[in-house]
Amino acid sequence: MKPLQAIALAAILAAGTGAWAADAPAKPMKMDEPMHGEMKKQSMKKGDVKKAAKKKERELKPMIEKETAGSAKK
Amino acid sequence: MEAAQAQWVKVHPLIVRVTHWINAFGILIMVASGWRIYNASPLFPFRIPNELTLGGWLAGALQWHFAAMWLLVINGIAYVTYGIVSGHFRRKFFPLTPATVFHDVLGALRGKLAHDDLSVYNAAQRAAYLAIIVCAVVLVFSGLAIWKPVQLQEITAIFGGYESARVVHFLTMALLVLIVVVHIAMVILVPRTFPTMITGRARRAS
Amino acid sequence: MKRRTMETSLAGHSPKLIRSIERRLFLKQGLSLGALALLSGCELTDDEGVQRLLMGMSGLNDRAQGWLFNPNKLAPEYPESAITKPFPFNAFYSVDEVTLVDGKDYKLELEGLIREKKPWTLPELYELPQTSQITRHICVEGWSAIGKWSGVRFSDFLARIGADTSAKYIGFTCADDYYTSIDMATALHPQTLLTFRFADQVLPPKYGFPMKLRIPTKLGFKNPKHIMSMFVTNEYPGGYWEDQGYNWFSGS
Repeated sequence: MKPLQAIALAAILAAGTGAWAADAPAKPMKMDEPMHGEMKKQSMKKGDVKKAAKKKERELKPMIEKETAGSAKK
Repeated sequence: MEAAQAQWVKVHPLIVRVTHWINAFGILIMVASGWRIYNASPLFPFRIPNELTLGGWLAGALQWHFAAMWLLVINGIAYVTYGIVSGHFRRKFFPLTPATVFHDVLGALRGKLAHDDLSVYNAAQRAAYLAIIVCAVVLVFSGLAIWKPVQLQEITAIFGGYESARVVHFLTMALLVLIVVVHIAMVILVPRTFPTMITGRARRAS
Repeated sequence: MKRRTMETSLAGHSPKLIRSIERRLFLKQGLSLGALALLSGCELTDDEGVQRLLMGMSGLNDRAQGWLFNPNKLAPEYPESAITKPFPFNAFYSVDEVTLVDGKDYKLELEGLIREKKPWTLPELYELPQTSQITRHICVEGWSAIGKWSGVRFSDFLARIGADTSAKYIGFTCADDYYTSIDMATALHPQTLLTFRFADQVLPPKYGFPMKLRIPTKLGFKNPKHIMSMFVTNEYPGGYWEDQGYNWFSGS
């Protein structure tokens, strides 16, 4: 990589996430791996949370939309 | 047969037997689930083998622990209220002096402690059973200190804060388990005490 | 029953023999009972009836804790010297998998029983009056650590957005897919803070950038990190760990 290219890349990164959040390179979460920590059940995978979140969103959506619409009228 | 019937004496009142067995069941659940909870963040450099624990995982163990808690609290209130109001504690556990406890514990260790009349506790028993009650009280309060370090922070402060309350809770559990193990060993050595805790009756020593 | 027949059949034998047999029988029964209890320990928890009973007790514990919760009782605060260093990282994933949220595009979404549902950018949130606290974070696993968080008092924020504070719950969804919810009484507690800073620095990703709801009156897993949206509702929203069996209220 040429110096100019490197500087340009660094500038793009800094303008993006770097300035705000990135103090460590983010690795994508390995969804089919077992969960970390001591709160888990042995069989739980990291991806379980995403699945459960989607299911929960579907369940709660009608009520939240109703409540959102209801409070807008006031 | 007629002669045998005349020999039965009443040893344990019904309420003592019922609360004893509810307590035994409750404490078994509390200890086994508590060990699982301990394993999630061990205070000391050892873990309890999972095979000896209850709950399957942390959430399961917590559910058992906080369900059995109510059973034990209600049972404990019934037992202690009866013990004080009826005079059961006063009659069964006192008088009690360090000298008699020392004498009887030594006797028990040498296998020379007589327990012929089951309706009277020797000094070693009195000390052990009182110690179990004291342990239970400390376990309840150190448990509250860990469970509610904000709402009941005055109790947590008595134990020197959250972290030391955890240590007190664990060590008191260990002491209680030790006393219970000795208690069960003694029942194995004098097996006729076992049915007495169920039926309430014992044959008069001949 | 067994004992009685044994006693009659052994009548005429020496009491010592009877006692030794009794003892052995008792030991054997005791041991097999113990083994049975241990073997069934796991299955016992999985049994549907037992599971319902335990969940019911957890619901009872929610109500008991709600009743015990005193909105004016403050969590103890600590001096700077008491802060735990390094502060532990804890999540269902490893620290190198922490979700990175782009602060520039970030907007906090608001839904449900809220009057002003305009999304909030970080600069807008940073301009709100800020306060700090040094409190003990207690994990459901048992460990605890003391940290310093700074942000806006959550009750102030709720007032500003016109949240219906007579509603029962506030739910949160997070950038790492985690979700949880809390009771309104806790949301209005004076020490419940919507925090943007940890140890006087912008909240690092591993502690929940761009924001973490810090609730010193609840266990750690009730303190959501990387909050993306929140909603005020009267329908019980549960939470990831709560739906798996952890107690919902989980108050300290």
